[in-house]
This record gives sequence, C-alpha cells and structure tokens, in this order.
Amino acid sequence: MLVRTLARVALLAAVAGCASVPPEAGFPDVQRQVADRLPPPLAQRVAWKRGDADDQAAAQAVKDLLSHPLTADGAVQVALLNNSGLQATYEDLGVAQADLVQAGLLRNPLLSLATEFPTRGDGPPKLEFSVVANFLDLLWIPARRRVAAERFEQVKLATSAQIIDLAADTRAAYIRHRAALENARAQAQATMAEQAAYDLMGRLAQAGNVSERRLATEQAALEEARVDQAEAEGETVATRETLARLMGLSGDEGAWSVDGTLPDLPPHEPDRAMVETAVVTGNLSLAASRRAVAAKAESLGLAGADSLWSESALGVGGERETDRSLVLGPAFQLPLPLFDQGQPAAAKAVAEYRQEARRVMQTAVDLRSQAREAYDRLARARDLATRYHDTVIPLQERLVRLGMAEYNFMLTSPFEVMAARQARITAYRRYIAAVRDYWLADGDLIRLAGGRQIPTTTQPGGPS
Amino acid sequence: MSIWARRQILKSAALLGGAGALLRGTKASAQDHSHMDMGSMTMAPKPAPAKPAPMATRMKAAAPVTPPRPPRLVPGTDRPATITLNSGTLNGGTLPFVMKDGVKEFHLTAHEFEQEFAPGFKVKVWGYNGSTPGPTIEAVEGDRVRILVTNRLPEATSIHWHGILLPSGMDGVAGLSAPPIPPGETWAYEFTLRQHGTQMYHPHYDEMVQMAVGMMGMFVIHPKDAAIGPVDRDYTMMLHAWAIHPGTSRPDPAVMLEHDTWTINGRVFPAVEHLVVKTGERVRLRIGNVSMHEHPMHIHGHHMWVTGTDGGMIPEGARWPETTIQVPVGTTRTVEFVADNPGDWAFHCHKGHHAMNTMGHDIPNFLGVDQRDVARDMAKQLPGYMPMGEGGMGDMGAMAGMMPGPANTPPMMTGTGPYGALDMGGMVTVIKVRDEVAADYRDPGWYKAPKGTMAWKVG
Repeated sequence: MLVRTLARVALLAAVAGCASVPPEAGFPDVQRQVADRLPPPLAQRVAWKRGDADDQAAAQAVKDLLSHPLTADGAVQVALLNNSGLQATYEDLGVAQADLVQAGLLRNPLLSLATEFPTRGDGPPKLEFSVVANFLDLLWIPARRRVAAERFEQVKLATSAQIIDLAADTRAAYIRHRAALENARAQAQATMAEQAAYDLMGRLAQAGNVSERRLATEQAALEEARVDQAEAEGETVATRETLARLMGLSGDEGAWSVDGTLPDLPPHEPDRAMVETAVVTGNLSLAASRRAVAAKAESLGLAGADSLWSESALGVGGERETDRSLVLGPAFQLPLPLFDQGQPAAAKAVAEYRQEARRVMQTAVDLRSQAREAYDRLARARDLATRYHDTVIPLQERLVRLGMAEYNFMLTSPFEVMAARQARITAYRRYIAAVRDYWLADGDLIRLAGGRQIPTTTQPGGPS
Repeated sequence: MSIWARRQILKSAALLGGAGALLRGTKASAQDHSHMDMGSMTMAPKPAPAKPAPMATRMKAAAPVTPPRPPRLVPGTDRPATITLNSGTLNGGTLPFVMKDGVKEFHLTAHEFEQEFAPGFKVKVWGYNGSTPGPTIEAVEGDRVRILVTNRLPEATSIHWHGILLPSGMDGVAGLSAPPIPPGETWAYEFTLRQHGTQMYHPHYDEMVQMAVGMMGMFVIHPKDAAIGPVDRDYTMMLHAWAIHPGTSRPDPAVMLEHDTWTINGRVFPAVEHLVVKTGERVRLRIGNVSMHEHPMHIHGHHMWVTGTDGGMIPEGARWPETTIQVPVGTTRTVEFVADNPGDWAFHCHKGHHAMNTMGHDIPNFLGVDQRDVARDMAKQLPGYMPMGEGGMGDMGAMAGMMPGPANTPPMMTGTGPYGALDMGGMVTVIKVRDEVAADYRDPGWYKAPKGTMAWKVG
C-alpha cells in the first residue's frame, strides 16, 4: 500500500518535473527584451548560433555588411551576429534553463541493500534492503522552482544586458575609430603645412637670407608634426583593431572599412530631468539584480527548513532473515534537530538576501551618478564642439585672412600666417575630439538606460 | 573772392561757426569773413582777452569733422587782407582773426577728430580747429596778437609759441610759464610780434603724447616791410612721423622711433597736394618739423637756397645752395628757389622708408628667393598666397589695390603717374612747374616731356 503510494507520487513528480529541457532556452524572451532597446534595423538581428540553417543567414548578413563601408549601425549588427563572446554568454541561458528543469525534479529514491553472511553454519545470508525517497522534497519543489525561475529570468536579463553592452561598446569603438581617422587626416594637413613652411625657409636659406639656426628651428617643427602624424596614424590602427575584436573579425575579413565622417551633433539633448528615471527604469543589470533579490526572497522560507529536513526520507525497508522469512515495513529517516535547528542556514539566507538588496541599492546609486556624469560630459562636449565650430574655427580662419591681408602689404611674415593656419588645424582636431566625446557620452547614456533613447528636450543643448 | 576762398571760409565756418555766420561769410570781403569768426562780435570790445561763450554747441559740429581736402592749392586769398604775398598751407588753411581794439584775435580749439591721411585711411588725431597740423597762424611783424585757446581734450594742454620772442609768461610751458589749460577752459595768450619769420606752435604739456597724436601748427610772421624777401609763391608745410600700426586708426604715442607713417601736413602721398608753379616764379618753402626724426627734404630739377631758420632770416651772404635740406627735429627751415625748369619734380624726404607707407619690420628678407613651386604648396594652406619681394619691392606699387590689405592701412607704395606706378608713399609731393598756369593755379595735369627730352628704351 505504502509502496504503491510512494511510486505514484514519484511518477507524478517526475512528470510534473518536465524532465526534458527546451532547446530555445528563453532566447526568444531575450530577443523580445532587446527588441525596443536596439535601433529598429537591428532588433531582429540577434541570433544564437546553434549550428542550424539560421547560422548561414547570419554569416551571409555579416559578409554583406562587411562588403560595404560600415556605418555605425552596421558595425553593431556585425558584432551582434559575429561576436563569439556574446554567443558564449547565450549558453548561460541553457545553464539556467537546465537548472530550472532540475529544480522541478524529485530527488531520486535511494535503494540500499545489505547482505549479512552467517559466521557459523551455511545458512543463507541475511538480506537487508530499503527504498527511501525524500518525500519532503515534494513540499519544497514549488519553492525551488520559483527560485530557479527567478534565476532564469535574471540570466535572461543579464544576457540582454550583455547584448546592449556589446552594442554600446561597438558603437563607441566605431566612433573612436572614425574620430581617429579624421584626426589623422587633419594631422596630415598640419604636416603638409609645416612642410611648405620648411621648404620656404629652405629657399630663404639657399638665398643666404636666413641663418642655419632659423632653418633648423623650422625643421624641428616639421619633425614634431611628423611624429604627431605617426602617433595619429597609430591611433587609427589601434581603434580599428578594437572595433575588429568587437565585431569578432578574425583577420581574413581584413578589407572592411568604415563610412563617412563623424555624424554632426543632433539638434537636441536628452532631457536632463528624464535621464535618471530612464536609467533606473531601463538598466538591465539593475533589473537582473532586482530579480536576484527576488530569488533570494523566495529562498528565505526555504533555507531553514531545507537545511533541517533535507535529510528526511520515507520509504520501505525489509529484511530477509536467514530462515528465508521476509519482513517488510516502512522506513523513516528524520534528522533530529538537537544541534542544528536550522537557524544558521536561515540566518545565512537572510544575510544573503540583505546583501543582495543592499547591492541593488548601491547599483542604483552608481547608475544614477554615472548617468549624471555622462550627461555632464555630453553637455560639456556639446558646448566645446559648438564653441569650436561656431567660434574658434571661424576665428582662426579669420586670423588667416587677416594675416594674409597683412602679408599682402608686406606687414607680416608668411610664417606667422602659417602659424594661424596651424592653429586652425589644431582647433579642428579639438573639434573632432569634442564631437567624439559627445557621441561617446551619448552612447554611455543609452547604455546606462539599457539601450533605450532618452527623450530629448525641445531646446538645443538642453536646460542649463 | 575766388571759389577756393569761399570754400576755405565755408570750411572754417563749418568748423567754428553757426549757420548765421556761414551765411554772412558768403559776402565777398576778406574783412567780412574775419568777422564771421564764432560770433565774438557779441563780446564786449574790451582790450582784455575776450571770454567767448561756451563752445559746447560749436564743438559739437567741429569734433567729428574731417576737413574737406581742397582740390588744389590756390594762393591764399583766405589770408588776412593786410598780407599781399601769395602763400598757402598745403592741404590746410590759414586761421582767420577778428580785429579787437587793434589786437588781432585768433581762436584755436584743441580737440580730437578724425582726419583722412589718404582716401580711406582715417586717423583719430588731436589737433586744432579740425585739422592737424592746425591752421597756420599768419600775422605781420609788429602786430599785437591774442590767441584764445579752448581745450576740448580729455587732458590739460598749453601752447608754446615756438621760436617767437615774447614775455616769459606767454611762452606756454605748463607749470613754468603759466598753469596748463584744464579741459573745458579757454585761456588767452597775447603778445606783440617783434620779429618776422617762420615759427611754430605746439603744446608744452604732455608734449610727447600730444605731439605724437597731432598737436602742432605753423606760425608765419610776415615782415612789416613788404619789400623784404618778396616771392611769388609761398608754401608752408609741416612734416610729421606717426606710429599708426597696421589695421589701427589711432597713433601710438608710446612709439619713440619705430614710426611707420610719414606725412606732409597730415597727408601721405599721393594725397599730399601738388605745388603748382609758373616758370620763372620765385618759390618759398617753409618747412617745420616737430617729429622725432630729421627729414632731409630733397628737390628735383632745381637748386634751392636756405634763407632762414626758426631763428630768423639768414643774411644774403651766408645763404648756401642745397638740393637736400635737412630739417632737424624741433625747428623750421625756409628755402627758396626759382622755378626755372618746367616739368614734374618730386619733392620728398630722402630717407627711403619716409618716402613710403607702412611696412612690417619683422618680415623675412625675400630678396633673391626663388619660391615658384614652394609658393604652390604655401597657397594650398594659405589661399591667395603669392611670392613677394623676390626681386625687390618695386612691384608693390603696382600690386596695391589688387590684393586685400588690412583695414585702414595704405599700401606701402601707391600712386600712379603718367608712366605707371609711382612706387612711393608718405612724405612725398610733386612740384609742377609750367610755362602756363591757370589763374587759380589749378592742377595742370601731368607734364608732357617735349620730344627728345625723355629717357628712351635702347635695348
């Protein structure tokens, strides 16, 4: 009777436990999560390579994208499809999914057999056997499943966060690379200007009109420009490689290039008042942490009992005596709470719960602060870029014009005018750096907000 | 009265008088227009220096005025009628006076205004009655003169009557002879002229600054005996050096020697008036200099005799001929020549850089530098870059106006003659000697060299 009951319970538990693990492992949930967090053309293009036909389509998409000069969106798309690190992260989903299945299963019953041989005579051996199962698991399974489900949700969120981070990293790398290319181009101009000045000084020296020292001074300036140019060109290679790594390019796709120039500043800034709210509501790491707290909360009630009763077992045991008579009876195993009454495990769970909760709070504080800082960088970069674009560069251009007017009347040296020209190139390089910093700060804000654009103000530059 | 004289009157009236005086000035009498001066007729006819009514309203009209540049020099019918000699101040005029109980009363107002040194080259200067140098004071030996000086400057001033023999208290050295004239006040200087000759007037208060920005004028005293040294043409000119940095419009008084603008009567060539002379006429040039540089003034086509300094006439036997007369700092030189050589003759300071306009001192020496291909690379960086000064700077005159220059800065060489660019600027003018001149001595145009009297190309 009891055996039959136990067997039924076990079967039921096995069926209820969903012993098969679904292969998609929550990836569609992840795709849904990031759908509105990536720019529209990218939303559909998150793919988990699992050796099926879709992999071919993804590889072809990457190939197509690389055959044209890459836009920022294109680079992000390549990274999302091709970055093996991200693919590795997706396996976390499988792990969590398996854990979840595991959590719904009863622990397997334990069969024990013991044989005792008589030391005298040749009677048959005595057999002892029992089959026990941890029947209390039945009570804990729903709770364990809830914990595992929370954990699964947490992993999905963390995976989505990885996707958003990779997109943000790739976009930032793209911006840095574009800025480095533009900077190197400007530096090449500066070298050309310095070269022309040096050549002119060389002619003056040939004619016997300037000293060797004056010419050497001009040569020193030229050499400095050349060194600067070499550094600028090195920076283009370094930034290109960073971008290549993020896009998961192994090297045989070496011919790829990036497109256009740095995008102009958008007309409007994100609304400063919306920034922190957007980050706190949108950030996926924070959401994952919240899930972790929830999971801890779920396990709170479990912890003490689990530690106390996890060794309990119920089953049937029997003996075949040496006279071949069989005795059967229920077996029961229960830890006696003499020493450990479960309090340490409960206290540990409470501590872990509080720890997780505090961590969430700290994460929120950090995120808010990072958002404010990123916003400040954004506003400053716009201010700087605008100043260079609207004031400093036109001013340097005017200085060149005014200098040329004086040169025309033999009032000033062409080398002085050339210095103004160099100052104009320097101002342009600083402008490029400011535009780069703007887009990097903008990317950081979007990353902090979990990939979501923060609503803009109607005023350019935002409220100040 | 000629049109020119009326113009001069109108100018004076515009500077100093109201509309009523202006209308009266149209009467064709020299005596009349000596009365038009600033309505001082309403003053009590006391021998004591008349205190004129507050000048605020008059100065309002005067301050911003740049005197219209006379189209030509015509001998001075604008002079007081007592003086019969032909004379004139290039680009300027003679100060009118009123007779008051036998005293010739002049009125100078010191103030700031803008003067065009050349068309488009506007300079904020200090001067008298709207011009720098101020109007020439002309009087006759033995005259008692009273000069009212109104100070409309932002600081005190005084006038020193350079080279004039007078009582110590009239000498105008602020603090030594008398107190300075504070802003807004009018003071009188009065003395009897015991000499004749070419003198000057200038401040003796903060004189470094005030002279650097234009405070000066000539004071011509004609001999009582008109038979002494008669000439047919009598020109007055004041030389000056200014530091008007390229692109600026106010002289820099802190510059001691690195001046860049060289003027005759506050104009740079070719805005300096030409001297028109009829062949055979005896010409006197009175040249004053209170700049910080000496000016060796050179005449072409003639020899001139040095006949006087600000110390008086040189006795006949002691005069000497020159083609270049050094005019030292702080003195006048009077020279005479007979214009017996028809043609267009340059008259200029012989210091090369005084015969041109502003040029940078810190520019590389491009003489002999071949930069054809380098210039292309330079032009890629500096739009409009053209090599300059490779074969000298002579082409600068021709290039003037073709390329943009700084604001308010004359090209270093400018002016065009009948045979091309003149390659000069600054302290230069032209003496035009002609067998026939118009009655009003208007500009006869360029000289046409008779056949066989001009240099010709050989190879």
